[in-house]
Amino acid sequence: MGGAASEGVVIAAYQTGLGVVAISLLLLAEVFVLRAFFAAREERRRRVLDEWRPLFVQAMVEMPDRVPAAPRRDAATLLGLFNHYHQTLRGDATESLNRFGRAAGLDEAALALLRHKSLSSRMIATAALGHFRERRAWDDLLRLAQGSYPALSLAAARSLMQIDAGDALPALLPLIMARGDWPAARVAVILTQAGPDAISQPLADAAIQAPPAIAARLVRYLAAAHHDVAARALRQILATTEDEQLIASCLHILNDPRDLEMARRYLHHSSWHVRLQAASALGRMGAPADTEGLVGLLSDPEWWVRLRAAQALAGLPFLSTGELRSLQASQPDENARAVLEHAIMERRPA
Amino acid sequence: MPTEEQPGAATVLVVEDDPDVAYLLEYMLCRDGYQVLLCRDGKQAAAQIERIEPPALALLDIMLPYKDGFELVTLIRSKSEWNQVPIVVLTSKSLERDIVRALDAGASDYVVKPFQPGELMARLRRYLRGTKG
Repeated sequence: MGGAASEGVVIAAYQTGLGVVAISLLLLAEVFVLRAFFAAREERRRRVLDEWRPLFVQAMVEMPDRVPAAPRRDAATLLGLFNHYHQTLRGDATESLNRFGRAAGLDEAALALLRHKSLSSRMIATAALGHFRERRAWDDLLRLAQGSYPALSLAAARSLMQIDAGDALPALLPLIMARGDWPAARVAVILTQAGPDAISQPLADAAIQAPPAIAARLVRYLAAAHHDVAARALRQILATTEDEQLIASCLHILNDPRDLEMARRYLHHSSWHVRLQAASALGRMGAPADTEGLVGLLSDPEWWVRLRAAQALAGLPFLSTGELRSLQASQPDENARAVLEHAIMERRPA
Repeated sequence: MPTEEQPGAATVLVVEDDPDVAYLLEYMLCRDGYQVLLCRDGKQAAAQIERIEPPALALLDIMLPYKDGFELVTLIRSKSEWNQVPIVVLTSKSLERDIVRALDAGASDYVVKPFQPGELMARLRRYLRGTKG
């Protein structure tokens, strides 16, 4: 019996070993197959780009008499090239790119790729449809903008703005206000690229009507709006709000010299964020009379306020480096002298 | 190469690591009658700068592998025989300090991406006038 049992153990071990070897061989085979697959795919991609790159470039100079149809199998590769040239170039060349792309059927390919299961393919198609300004993609792009993938939704928002900013902004403003997963810098780029004519009034109206926490975000985007529209909105908000975050956001982009008096009022606000932005505003717009107010902030209890006040002083065009040095020497507070030294060293040579 | 070699044509050194942009630049320069010496990275460009005769113009991208465009501008300006070579830099950044840095290093002009091909060629022709050979 002992012999039978040990023989069973040996057989079990042998079979387990065989199984492990078989699995290992299968995994190895899978690695080789995948490597071969990806190498072949990359080789095809390279060949397609080598074949089509000259056609794209020639079309930017002169549209060829015959444009080959883009193979559907290579749609993602070719749309990637299309997008890349759009990102690199501007002006007439992009219009030529669009004419060529439509002639090759890339617009239809992009519409089809929008529903692809691959996220990267949908990203490429989304960007391309924005460059094409393809109105047929509107509903699909709107659905994507409302979707859960932040990068894809933002790309869809951008494309909608490229297609028709006037129609897109009312649909996107609620998303801009609600989506905390859309980086502010990216939203700002989209709005800036749409141009002040398209965004100024709707953005200003939304900022005025929104609750303070959301308005504080929207106000920052007013930097891309027409100056007079933004200035009117900022004055209206500052006249009525006591929310510190919103006040600081308004002061951050305040840029109209007629609002200098309004900025001065916040130099001694209880919130250091507000004092900091007030100092920045005076640095941008300040008159010689504001030197004293900024010097006063050099002794602020908050380091960031002291630094910003020093930087604002160093940035004033009517103060030479020699005058700043005299100011520095006259400060009884060691912190004030130190932070001015920092700001003077940052200053470009006069 | 987009076109065949053109004996006697003036040479433009192009340093650009993006193959799509490199092809476009090479195509437009060859179409305008220039011979293009294309380098794909800063190390390759530096080796060529040490080896070849000064070209009619150097067109450099700023963001390059190994040595960036700033280093190449400095290298070119350190060579007395290359002192008169116009250098135009292509930069993706519209940041003032990068443009100032390139000009301070000795670049003659700059173009910011995204660029208009026609505008770029007009700027280059201004420096290349009378050099077609």
